Amino acid sequence: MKTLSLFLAMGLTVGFANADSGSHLKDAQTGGLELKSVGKISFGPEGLLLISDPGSASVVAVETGDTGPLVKLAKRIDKIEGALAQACEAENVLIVDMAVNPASGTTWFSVNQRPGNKPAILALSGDGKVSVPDLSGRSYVRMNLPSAENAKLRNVTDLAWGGDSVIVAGQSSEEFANKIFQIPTPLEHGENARFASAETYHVAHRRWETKAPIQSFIPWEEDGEHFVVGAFACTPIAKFPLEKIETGNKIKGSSVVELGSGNRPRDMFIYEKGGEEWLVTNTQRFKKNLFGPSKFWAARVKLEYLEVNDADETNENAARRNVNAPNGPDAKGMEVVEELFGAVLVSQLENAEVVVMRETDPENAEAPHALELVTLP
Amino acid sequence: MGVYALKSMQGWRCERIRASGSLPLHFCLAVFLLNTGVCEEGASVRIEPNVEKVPANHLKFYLHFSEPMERGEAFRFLRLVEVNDSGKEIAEVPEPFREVELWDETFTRMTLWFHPGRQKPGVNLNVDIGPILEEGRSYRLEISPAWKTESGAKLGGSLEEVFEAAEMDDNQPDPASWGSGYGIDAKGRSVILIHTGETLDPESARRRIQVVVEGEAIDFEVRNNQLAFVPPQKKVDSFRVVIDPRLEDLAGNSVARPFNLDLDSNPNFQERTDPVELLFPRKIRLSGDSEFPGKVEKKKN
Repeated sequence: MKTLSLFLAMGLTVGFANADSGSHLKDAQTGGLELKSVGKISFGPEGLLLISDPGSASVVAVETGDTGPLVKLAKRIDKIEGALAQACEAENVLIVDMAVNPASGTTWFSVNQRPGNKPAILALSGDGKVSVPDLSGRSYVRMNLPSAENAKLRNVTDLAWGGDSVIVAGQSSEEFANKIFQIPTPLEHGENARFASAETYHVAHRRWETKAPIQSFIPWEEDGEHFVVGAFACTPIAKFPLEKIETGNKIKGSSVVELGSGNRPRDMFIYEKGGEEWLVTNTQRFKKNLFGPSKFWAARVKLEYLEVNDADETNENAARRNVNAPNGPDAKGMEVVEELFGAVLVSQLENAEVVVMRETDPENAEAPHALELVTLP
Repeated sequence: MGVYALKSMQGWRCERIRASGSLPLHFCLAVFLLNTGVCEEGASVRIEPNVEKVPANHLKFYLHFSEPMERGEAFRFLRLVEVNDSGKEIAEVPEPFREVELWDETFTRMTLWFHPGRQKPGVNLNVDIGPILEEGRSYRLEISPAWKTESGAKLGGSLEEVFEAAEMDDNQPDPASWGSGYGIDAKGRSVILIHTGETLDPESARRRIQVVVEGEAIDFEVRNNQLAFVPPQKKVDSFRVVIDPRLEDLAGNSVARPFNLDLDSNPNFQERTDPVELLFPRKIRLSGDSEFPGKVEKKKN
């Protein structure tokens, strides 16, 4: 069970039917890929890149051809924005999201070029060279998020490959509302997503929230059941049964962990070390961080906390992080990850190895960021 | 020279300044010009809602730009400050926004959320940091002129909206209390007005309300606590207003449910899911109609 969960988080997959030969796409289009905008990105298997295009309320899956061999980032990049801007001949870039391809070690970025906001996808190989991959001739599909919701969904907060489906979490621009979309594989053009609203018990609020959006998530399997384990602002971690997604309905999640108020989760992944499995989420505090040098910090939670289902261990009874014990026995398996202080974006390469985009000056929001490969404890 | 379309300040703040002291008229004129965003070049922005008072649990503004803006760092250019009666800054409100950029498909409209966790009484951020707005106090939402458009143009002057926090609003919109009347629009045309009793969330009103005349849905304008439409013909015998229960007011209360619903204490609360339909059967005649000049019949729904 745990092993499969880890595999899903690492982007590995199981078999597929009806796909184009050797592909996870069905009836893919070759050539002509244009992006109106770029948002969150994530990798599937064999170099399949998922790109959210919030401007067109869709998700694009493109076969990048970036299938290896694996070359890990050899050295720290001190000014990643500058390196990316130089490659695409822009004055500057704003990094929207980052995803490392586990197959090749190449780190891909979705950026807005400055001036002009022109969207771009860029790639940084393990040897530190930045390229502008030509995706125009690649096979792709564009998956429109259901048109009934098109007018509402303008922000994909996270997306991930889930083995037999792509999972997308989004929120409305106009109303405080959230949606979870599930798009079955093989992926094809058009509207194929099922979607539901998520209802969650916020431990810190001690209230049920029907509208708070999921900020980041991972696909998760437990005893043959498939879940989305999602993190919300403030920061409950809850799991939602995917089998219960029916278009238009609500699915009720079980809050299993509360990391503390005043946080906004950014990324989430699972790794194993010394026989212990950990769920990691890096977050941004709303206010000054009293237990570290940056508003950007991360917590890791023993995976066993996710495996609870009984009422006396979930929702109002969910485990809460001991904010007075960042580490050690009193932390009871919910610890601050010091290696991730200042981590604005984190993407998992391989188990405990993650690529981190980190602040270089917490007091200066305009300071460039650094990129480095980090091995977690 | 471009003229900013920001309506937020216009004359009333100048009047308040004059009322609060003895500032000369030319000073007020200068403040007026600054606040209406007169500048040499650049794009324009309009802030919605444009009202003098919002409930203390107000949730969001809409920033309408005349062209697509640079995105990704919007919150560096936005600020909320508490001001005194003279408009002088008392203090910056810390961490007021939910820092997620939400744009429409044209990237010309950004939804600016106050952090719901601070605006909901009793929840953690509200308790830890306190509410963003406090009843009776005045605030100024500021947009920095350093924010550039996609084409690299600056916004120009200091762009802002001043408002006062009124009593909190925990009541759901009540369509049964809506009435109608008539007025004149900016082009001098006669329009039919629907009085909604409170200022609705403007984008929600545009999305969730349908005005139907003789079987045809027609365009309408949202004017704070009114909806206005130009009837397809001079004499309108009746029209329908169909309201999706997801329609929200400024505090996020919808026809379906209050925003601040505690499901623990209301475990059996049932959201309204079916639309509300209002029939306005009265004879409405427009100004200029010789049969009934300048008057409108008023009937209760």
